[in-house]
Amino acid sequence: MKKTNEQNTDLIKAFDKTFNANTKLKRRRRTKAFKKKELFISTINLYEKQLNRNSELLHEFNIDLNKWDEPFYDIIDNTLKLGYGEKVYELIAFYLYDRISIDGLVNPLVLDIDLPPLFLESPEHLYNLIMKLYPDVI
Amino acid sequence: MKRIPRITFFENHLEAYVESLNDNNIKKILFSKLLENLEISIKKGRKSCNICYVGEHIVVVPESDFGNVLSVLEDYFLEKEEYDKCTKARDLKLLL
Repeated sequence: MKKTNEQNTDLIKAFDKTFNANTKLKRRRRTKAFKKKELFISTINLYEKQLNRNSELLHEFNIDLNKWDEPFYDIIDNTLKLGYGEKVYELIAFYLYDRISIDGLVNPLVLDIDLPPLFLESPEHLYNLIMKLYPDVI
Repeated sequence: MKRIPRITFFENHLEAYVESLNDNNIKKILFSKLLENLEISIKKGRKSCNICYVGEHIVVVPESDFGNVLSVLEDYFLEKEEYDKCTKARDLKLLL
């Protein structure tokens, strides 16, 4: 996997080529909304990492920490419900618990029978969806 | 519609970036928005113009390269037969 600096160099090269100019990459100002988004993404990533760690422990070493950890997950889930509301929590819970099937494939999220199914690829994708559906919640 | 477009690249290497930037749909939005933003930057005497957001970054073009970018836009809109935008790019070049 390429490092961020190399990626940025490639990105600038692509823009330079497209626009025949010496373009530059500037870091965005960290607005309040941007910080909120970063915090949300990092929380979901950590939660997912923790769930995967428990699952690995269970499958590789037959150590089941789920019962031990359950109250902590309940605290986090309830905090999410309090903060974002039931509907947003349902989307977050889908992302964390139902998005990846047992065979490792990404399950589609069906919001409405008339709409095409969505495949959530990342916490950022989830965040953008929540912002679109419930802009006042976050 | 937002003034500065955001591009999300699903692969992070040069070929993928170039391929995405050459995609007709992306080009159409990117070039049209850039023309509008260049017009504002030139008229307000700004030292640079924002092209788009990519992740946590903004891609900007400095004032010294406005002419080159406008030539690229002029050629693009001429090829697409969008003559009003082509003329706008040419006229903006004359203001530099």
